[in-house]
Amino acid sequence: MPELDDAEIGAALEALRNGAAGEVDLEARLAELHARAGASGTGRRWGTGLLAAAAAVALVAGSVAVLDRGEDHVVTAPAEELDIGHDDGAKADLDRAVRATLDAPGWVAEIGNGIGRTTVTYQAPNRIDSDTIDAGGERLSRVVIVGTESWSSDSSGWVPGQRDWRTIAPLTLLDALSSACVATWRSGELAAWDGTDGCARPLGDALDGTDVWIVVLDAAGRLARIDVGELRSDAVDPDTPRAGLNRLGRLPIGARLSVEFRYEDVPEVSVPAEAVADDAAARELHDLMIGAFATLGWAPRPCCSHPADTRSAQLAFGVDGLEVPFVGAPVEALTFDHDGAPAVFVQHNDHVVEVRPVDLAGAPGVAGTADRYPFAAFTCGGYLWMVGGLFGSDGPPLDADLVISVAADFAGALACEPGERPVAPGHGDPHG
Amino acid sequence: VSTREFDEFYRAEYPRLVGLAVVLLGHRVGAEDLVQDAMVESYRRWDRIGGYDSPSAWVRRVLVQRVVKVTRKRSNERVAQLRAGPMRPAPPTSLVGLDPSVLACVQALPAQQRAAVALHYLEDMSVRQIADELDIAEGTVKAHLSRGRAALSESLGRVGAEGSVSDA
Repeated sequence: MPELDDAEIGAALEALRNGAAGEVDLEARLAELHARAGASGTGRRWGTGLLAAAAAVALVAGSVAVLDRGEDHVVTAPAEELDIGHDDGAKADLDRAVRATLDAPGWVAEIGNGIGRTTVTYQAPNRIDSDTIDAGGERLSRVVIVGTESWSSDSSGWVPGQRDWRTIAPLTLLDALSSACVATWRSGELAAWDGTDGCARPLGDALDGTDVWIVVLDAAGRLARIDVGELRSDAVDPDTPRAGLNRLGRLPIGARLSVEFRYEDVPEVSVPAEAVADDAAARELHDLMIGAFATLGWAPRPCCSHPADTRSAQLAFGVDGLEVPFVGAPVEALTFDHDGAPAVFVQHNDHVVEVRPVDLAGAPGVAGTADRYPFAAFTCGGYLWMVGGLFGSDGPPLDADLVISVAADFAGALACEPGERPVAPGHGDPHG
Repeated sequence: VSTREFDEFYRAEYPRLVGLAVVLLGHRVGAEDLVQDAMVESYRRWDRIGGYDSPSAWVRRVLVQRVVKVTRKRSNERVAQLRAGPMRPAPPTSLVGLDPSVLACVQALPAQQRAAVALHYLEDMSVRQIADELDIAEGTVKAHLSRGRAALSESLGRVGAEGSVSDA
């Protein structure tokens, strides 16, 4: 295999940069810049918090309203209110409030994003219940966690999960707060913002896009309300959002996130009746998969090396039916209907890899490329194991070779040998 | 704000920064918007930034920070979306005008590795400067550069053998 030296690598990257640079419509972009800068008001404004949306999703353990822009689109903050800097006393107050909230016997958090609302009930220790109504109000989903066991409901009923949701449910947003820069906002209110570029600058001088939480404390020093926004120096007209607002697959802009805590009349969180009759085989499979991942060093980590990683789940599970079209296959698609069969999403380096066992007895192994992403499959223990590249967490789809490599590792961990024959002749190309 | 002076700066720097953003991101989607955001920020502070020895370094730093932040956010959001509902395919990446084979090699690098490589090869930055820019340890930068270089050497070499990178 020919390899390139340093100069050749540099030349290839330079060519790539020049290729991208050559495509810009410079004068149009410059005119747009002047228009934006001229249109901005005198005060800094708040837009929707993108991280907030992600945090909200995590907070409700798997529910997000993906909607159009809402009315509560922009909140204006006077410029003078942003002329505040990090202060250790305020930080200590916030840390105490976070601890007090987590130490409380229970609370109910009403999470609103301006469009939909979600209720999360938390009971110490480790009992969590959430209800979520989706964008159109057509789907009601619920997640219940008791101890280390979790169940989620969808249209087909209760589905057991293997993930320990405790690490992402109530703690996610609170963890984010614990690593933030903090200042006093008003009496009884704190402003916290992410310290991407450090805490040295005043909030009003922080970079555009900085996530900001306004935290209201109750009389007992616990969290009473959190409003989440994003610092923006330009006005965001909800009627004419510039294209950049929805860039890069971010969750849609459109709502201000707020979380309101109450500590009284917290309902009991208990195991759903339907979930008691859990599928022992599926549970066993969960254990098998988790054990395999642990062997590969992919076990969920209670904490991570980088503060930002504490907001990333290392494992998640999905139960949605998946249709995988085969390229060049004599059949157009295989549809997997999941009757509680788990699929595990593994964050591996910068990629999210799906591992899905499908009860398809007798099917030998195959490595192929689906329509948009590569996958590998092999039989083991009476299941067809799908190892699929959903996408790279920073953009690109998984490389087929990497998927095959992951599948081989995974099969090894399961003490299985991938089969050699494809599921049917012509199914897939190992290097497609 | 000295508009004429800023406009000259913009015309000189914007295309180059877009190119850098594409390499930093590993794709073109959103690259121009990130550069534009950084430029807007510099425009608003041009009275101060225009007096710096290297205003372009200031804008580049803002850009890099934004790319890092967007990448982290996106990673979190992708995982969150997995839990939120049915899987969605990755958005198509515009490859117009770019060598898709070379871009694919860059895309294949982990985000921080890609950033370190981009700053080293395209901005001619030292290990210490990259560490400062990305807010990571120098040892980490060295590891990223070593692995990134090895990965690109092999993958670009493979592409070159197939003829695509020969024009670079």
